Amino acid sequence: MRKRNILAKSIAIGVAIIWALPFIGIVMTALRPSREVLYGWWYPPFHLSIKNFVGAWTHPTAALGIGLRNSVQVAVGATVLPTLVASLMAYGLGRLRFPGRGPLLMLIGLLLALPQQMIAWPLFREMHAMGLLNSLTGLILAHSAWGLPWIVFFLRGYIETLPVELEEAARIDGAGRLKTFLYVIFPLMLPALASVMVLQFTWVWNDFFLALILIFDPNKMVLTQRIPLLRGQYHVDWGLLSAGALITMLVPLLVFIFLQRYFVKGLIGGAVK
Amino acid sequence: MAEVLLKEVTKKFGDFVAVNHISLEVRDGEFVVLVGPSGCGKTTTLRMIAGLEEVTEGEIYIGGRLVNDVPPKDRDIAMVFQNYALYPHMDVYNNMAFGLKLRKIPKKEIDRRVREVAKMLGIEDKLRAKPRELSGGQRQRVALGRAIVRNPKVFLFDEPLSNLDAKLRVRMRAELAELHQRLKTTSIYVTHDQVEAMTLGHRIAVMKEGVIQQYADPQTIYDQPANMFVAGFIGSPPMNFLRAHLTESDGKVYVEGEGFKLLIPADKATDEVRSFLGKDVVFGIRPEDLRTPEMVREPAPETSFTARVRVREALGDELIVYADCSGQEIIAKLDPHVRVNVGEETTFIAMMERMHLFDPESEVAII
Repeated sequence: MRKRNILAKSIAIGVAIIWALPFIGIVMTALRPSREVLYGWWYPPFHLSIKNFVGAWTHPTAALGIGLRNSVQVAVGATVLPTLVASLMAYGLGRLRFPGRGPLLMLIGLLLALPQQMIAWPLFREMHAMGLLNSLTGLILAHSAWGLPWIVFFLRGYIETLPVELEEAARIDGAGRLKTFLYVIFPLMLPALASVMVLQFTWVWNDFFLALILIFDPNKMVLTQRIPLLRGQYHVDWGLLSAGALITMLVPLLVFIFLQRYFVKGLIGGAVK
Repeated sequence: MAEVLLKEVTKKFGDFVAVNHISLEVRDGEFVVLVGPSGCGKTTTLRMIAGLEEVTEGEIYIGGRLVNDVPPKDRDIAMVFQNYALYPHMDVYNNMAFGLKLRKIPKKEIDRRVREVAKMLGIEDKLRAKPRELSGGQRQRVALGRAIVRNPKVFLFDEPLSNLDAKLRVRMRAELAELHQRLKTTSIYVTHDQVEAMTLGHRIAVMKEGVIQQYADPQTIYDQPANMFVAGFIGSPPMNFLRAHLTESDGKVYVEGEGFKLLIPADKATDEVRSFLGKDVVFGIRPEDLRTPEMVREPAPETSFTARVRVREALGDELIVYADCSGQEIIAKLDPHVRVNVGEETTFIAMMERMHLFDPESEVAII
């Protein structure tokens, strides 16, 4: 038993090291001058500096500082908006019986299977028609719409695990549908909402594709659009790129750490009370 | 407080008729129990009174007001659910205060009422606890408290004790009875447990397949069951049913079957009974109305028969005997001290003044 335990642990540690290696590489590259890491980053000497971070943050054509501000706006907006809308939709689809409910659910399911590339052109035209090209609002709306189906599906599944009697008790206690939702269902959905928000936030944060289609004003570009611009015209500045990648990674990491407790609870659904 | 009136109420789920034209009158302050096997429509009936289920046909009145189209929150009722349905994210205080807050009752008044009821139920030290930190019995008390604090016209109970262990159930049953004596609020209580029905109900409605079989006080239900279903459902062990027919000789009426011929007392041999002379009947006798000769000083004439004992269960305060009477099983509940041996042909005496006769076709009681 002990032997097997040790074996299992060493395998786990081995996998973890392999998993972490690229990340360690990026940290090294970001913190050390490029000549030190060009021929292998595990040899001394180690000269640490935050020059690359400062450079990326204040880059003349692709300042990550501004990118971070844009990204935060987009990611927060495109997380909160669809989560709120979807929680109401999920409650309706999960609990109310109305004509057309089945087909509607099916449609939402089909939307989940749609590849993003397929909507690129129609999305561009639509945003153009609405005058929302090159605007963060437009990007927020696009991400919200794209996220809505999976969030609805996820939350609906969660709502169906909540006992119906709770709502009935609330109805008898004097709450209508909306108050039942606000005071009873919504608070109970918090773990699921946390999971949804972490996933959606990360997704929007990491997105490059939709931003590429909708934003081309250098001032409005989000973080992910700026990283390629850090590369340099004639040679690749790996240090700058790595620092940029680390800055970009930081925010979802913080979000995850902050919501982790709820995140796990939400993923296992109603199984644990 | 208010009376509850159901007039020809029917509930259909698609083609399935869950409740079939039932009429029920619950008096002001009365405690009525709906009892029956699962799927008999008792819970559906309760849910219709609560407004959680729409009425397909018929009318429901609470306190003289037609409530068919009144939403649950405006019916002035409170309901206790089987699984308690406490709001998991609220503490005990807020669980109880929720309904009052929604009704915009002043904070001070809410506080006074919640504390008063919590004290009454012995949970005043748990007001800040979340439901998951409570034991089953405490949760049940909170659920009760949530109902009481609103001071509604009618309490509805949906099998509120069935999630508790046996010991606690007995205690909560007594507490419920005491609580009702104190509050005197009209109550409708659904259960499949006949003991709960008998002990709690002023009147009991025995239901089967969406129809009320009999609606009367517990003793009447027990002594004069309206039909074989009620007779078999209430009472444990259940009433013995033996195939028989009625015969007459020398002006005396007998119930006669395979292995027994018993004299029906003169006052029981009514015209109604005589109309079944020569016809098949079902002879019903409760296990405690069968005795052995040791237990009876002067047995009435022609009331004994023999049966072979198959199983004996000594429970300490009583002795349950399963015996075979010419192929039909009978169960007798005897004094624990009588001598009965397995495998022996034993004489039993039927207390014929407490016998029942049923029409085998309609299963309705003849007497």
